[in-house]
Amino acid sequence: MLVGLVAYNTGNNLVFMMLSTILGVLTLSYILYKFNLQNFVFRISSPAQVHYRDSFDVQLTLENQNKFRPLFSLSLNAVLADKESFWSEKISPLQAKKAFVVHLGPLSSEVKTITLTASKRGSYLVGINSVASLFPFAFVMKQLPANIRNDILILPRIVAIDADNLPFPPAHGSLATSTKGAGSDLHSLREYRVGDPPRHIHWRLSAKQNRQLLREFAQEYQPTVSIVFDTRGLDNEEPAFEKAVTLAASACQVWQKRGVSIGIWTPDSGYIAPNKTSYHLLGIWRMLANVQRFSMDRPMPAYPTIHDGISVYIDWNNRPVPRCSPLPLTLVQDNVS
Amino acid sequence: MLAAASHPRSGQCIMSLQSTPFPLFKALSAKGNLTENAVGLGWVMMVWAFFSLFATNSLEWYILAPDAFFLILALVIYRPLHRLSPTKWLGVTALVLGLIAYEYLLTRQVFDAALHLIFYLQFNKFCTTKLDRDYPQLFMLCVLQVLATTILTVSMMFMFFLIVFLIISVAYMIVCAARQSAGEEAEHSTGMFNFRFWRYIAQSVGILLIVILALFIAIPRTAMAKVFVNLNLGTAGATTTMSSFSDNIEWGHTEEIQLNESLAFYVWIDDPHAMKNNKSRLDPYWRVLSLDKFTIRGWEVSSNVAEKTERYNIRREWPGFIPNPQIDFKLHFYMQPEVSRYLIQAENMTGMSLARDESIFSNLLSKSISLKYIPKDNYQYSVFVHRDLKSGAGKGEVPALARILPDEFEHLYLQTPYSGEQLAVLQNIANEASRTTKNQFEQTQSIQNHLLKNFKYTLKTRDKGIKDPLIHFLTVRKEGHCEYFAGSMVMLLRSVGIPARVVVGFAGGEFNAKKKMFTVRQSDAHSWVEVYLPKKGGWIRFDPTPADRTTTHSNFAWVGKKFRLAKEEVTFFWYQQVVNFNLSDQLSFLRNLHQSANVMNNRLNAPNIMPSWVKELKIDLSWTGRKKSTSLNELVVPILCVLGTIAAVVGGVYVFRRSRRSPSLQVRMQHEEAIKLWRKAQRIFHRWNIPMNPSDTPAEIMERVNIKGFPSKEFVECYYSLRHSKNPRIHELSRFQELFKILLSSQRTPAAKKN
Repeated sequence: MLVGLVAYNTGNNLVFMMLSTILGVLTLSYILYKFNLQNFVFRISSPAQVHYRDSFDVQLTLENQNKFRPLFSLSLNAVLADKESFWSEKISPLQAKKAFVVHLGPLSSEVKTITLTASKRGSYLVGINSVASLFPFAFVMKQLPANIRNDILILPRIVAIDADNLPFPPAHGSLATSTKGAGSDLHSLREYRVGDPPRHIHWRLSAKQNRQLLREFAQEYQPTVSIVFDTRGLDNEEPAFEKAVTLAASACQVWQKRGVSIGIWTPDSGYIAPNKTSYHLLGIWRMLANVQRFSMDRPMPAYPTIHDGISVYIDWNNRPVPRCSPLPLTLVQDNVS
Repeated sequence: MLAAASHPRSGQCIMSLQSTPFPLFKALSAKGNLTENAVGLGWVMMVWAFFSLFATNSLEWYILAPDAFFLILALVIYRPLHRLSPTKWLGVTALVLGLIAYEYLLTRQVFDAALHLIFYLQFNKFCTTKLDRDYPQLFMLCVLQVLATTILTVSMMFMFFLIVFLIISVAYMIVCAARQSAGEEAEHSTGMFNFRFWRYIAQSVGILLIVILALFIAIPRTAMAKVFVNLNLGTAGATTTMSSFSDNIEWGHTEEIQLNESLAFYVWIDDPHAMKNNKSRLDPYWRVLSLDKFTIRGWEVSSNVAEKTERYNIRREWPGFIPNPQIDFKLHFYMQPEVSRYLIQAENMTGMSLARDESIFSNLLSKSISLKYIPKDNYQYSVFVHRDLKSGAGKGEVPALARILPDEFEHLYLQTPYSGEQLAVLQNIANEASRTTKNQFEQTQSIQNHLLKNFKYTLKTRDKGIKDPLIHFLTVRKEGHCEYFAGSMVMLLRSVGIPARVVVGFAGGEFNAKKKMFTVRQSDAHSWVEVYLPKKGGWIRFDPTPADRTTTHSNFAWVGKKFRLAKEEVTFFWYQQVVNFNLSDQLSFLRNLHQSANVMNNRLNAPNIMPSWVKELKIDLSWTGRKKSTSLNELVVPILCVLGTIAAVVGGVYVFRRSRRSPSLQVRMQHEEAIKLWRKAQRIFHRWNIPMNPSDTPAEIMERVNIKGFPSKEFVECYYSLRHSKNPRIHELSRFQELFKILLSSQRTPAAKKN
């Protein structure tokens, strides 16, 4: 406006030229702004799950599908957030980082890697929630919302635990079982029936008794630990609760490595039967990733009755050990610090 | 903290360059990051804006020197300056502002002080750049400086500076915008010069120049008066003129000027009627002012005449003057800087039009028009000239250009310092030359002819030591230049009682018949005589100098002359089409467009083009209130234009939507290729005895194949994308073909079968 006023006041054509230049720049800015951020696609690739406090890479692939027009100054906003805050302007995401592309030529693609850090456990979304550009002159920012995202589960943190401080079920073989099963200890003998595996025939006794006798074996003992995790607590006990989750997850890993079957009980998920596979461990971690603390107003849950192995109660808030059968051992963080 | 700093909504991103050195070449290379690129381009932009001031050719060294110092300082010790704390910068700023204020108090020049201030602010912004907003602020300061240059000059060199400034500043703003977008990555992102950055800039600037030209032509000009009359930003005028035309001219001044071939001014004849009947024959005498008082040393304007100077405020047009195109035509003058404080006039001038509002000083007696100052830039204005040269009667409203000499002032033009013997000598010469004349006019003509025939022209007068050069010229030397001839004639006429005066100005110039313009140089400076003859209508011009003043002589070599003429032609085009572009030019441009449309319309209306029944069709337009009826053929062109526009728009939309609906040829080819490869793969699976039902999807089939190490999922995704997507990803087909080859080369029997 000032230049226009000067132009009309002086009648100087070169000032009119300056005015034309300024208006031309604004016009060009609008034209370039309008045609930027069009006709492109991007994809992301991210891990399905990571542990708390671990860094992970998110790979962004940007493709320009224009035949003639390049793209300039693209700012991709990668966020790690829950569903509510993924597009929210009021709620901050868990983490946000920008990836910037200076120039993307026609029919070309570029891959950018962003490293994010999982700072909180739970189920989140990782992806691009907006693409922006200040091209060409930063007069106006063009921003397009994006909905490219993957689910990511942030598992509980795993800390190093000294296995000596952990309760273990009795060693293999110290308790015999009285049930028949697939094992190696002899349980009983019986007559051979058609269909029985011939290699289990006790040939010596069969020869002595002039009849075919089959060996039956005793069920092998499976060491089992069942974790009793009461998630009820007060609001100011959140840090202790997180430590308890970390402790439970780390202890599960130690037990699983030692060949112990792990089960877990929480008020919400109920009792997850023990198993010693790594897949089962992952399942427990997934459950622990989503476990939430509940208020003490919640009614007393029905604690489980555990039949096999030992049960371990995570004492994280100095509450009385619940009465369940059998009486669980108490595991506090101090024990394993 | 990290999340907050890198949130997309945050407006600021604090960048630090403290650890970044500022080598200029690295900053402007592919090795520099975005921040370095911005800093480097910023410095180049500042330097170029500074150099644009040279286009004005009007700023003194003491204005430019400290500013050049700032620029060099910014380059050499950028890093230490960037590390200075804000407190120290405050101190430096206070010191500099104090110096600028002191300079203003001394010189009272607002513009110079403002220019220094702008330079310092640029320097400050450049060296303390930390925030995103600092970059556009530096840009605006450079634009302000270029704007200041615009106000000072109309030089064509300025156009060159402006275009280059445009390129640099567009690049700078784009880099800054990219830097702002990148945020924290700006110091790691590769710079802007590792792709065809300048090609894109050139394309953008090319489009920009077209848009600027269109806007320059389209922005409506007005002939309105200045809104703020007293708001002027021009600097003080020059102190001397190149032509030395002033109220006091001593002997010998003309000699130096006539050796100077530099340009004085252009005159463009704006006379449409001349094209038809060639009537605007112009005597190329360009009047500056007249001198009435003669001393032994030279000629000057006497105080009696000088006190008759009156001041006028001209609002671009001479007040009250309305030109008549049948009687008056226009001459456009384009004066070079520092030619003269006096505005050059033409014979029979009836009015004047200035490019801007001015205060001018007009003198009734000396018939001069002058400015308050000697213009330091190119000065342009227009004069109206009476077409009837023979009548010589300038009957315009301009009082300063009167041809009548009031009686009370007649004695001023009879004044002579000579008496006694010297006066007698003059009288004898005058009487001898005009022995047979009957009246004053014939007497004057005789004296003129005497000088023309009996005296020679030369620039070498060798007057050193001569007490009275004029008498010496008339009696002894009998050769001299125009000053001597004019002065002598005036003295001779005055000695016999005929009022006369010396007029100084320019005469002749190179005439370009094609462009109808005169190119007048300093060497065309001339003196002639005006004689007051009441019976002939007033002041009449006589030129006693024997040399032909309408032709120029150039000592330039042929090549140099051609180049000079070409440069002057371009310069004149610049003045004519750009500097002098005004409301009437805009209107004539629109008229030309309208005429072109009419010509096209007339051609369509030619008898052998339109059928008669079309011509006879009448359409009643009475509802428009403009015409009662018009024939259809008058509407053919507008109807065709409208139909053509509608057809183009509809066709374009149809093609666009069709292309979006249906896949392009390339996409269709990819579809077919993907289907062909999948069928081949199915045949292979069949050979491998993999059960396949017609209802099985490719994903289900691939699950059964289960080749160890083969990316089945990706294979299926590629196939789906090529087969069903309208915009398959780039290089999808090549990837699919690659996976197919891997499939072919894998083991014939799968590692495990899935039930």
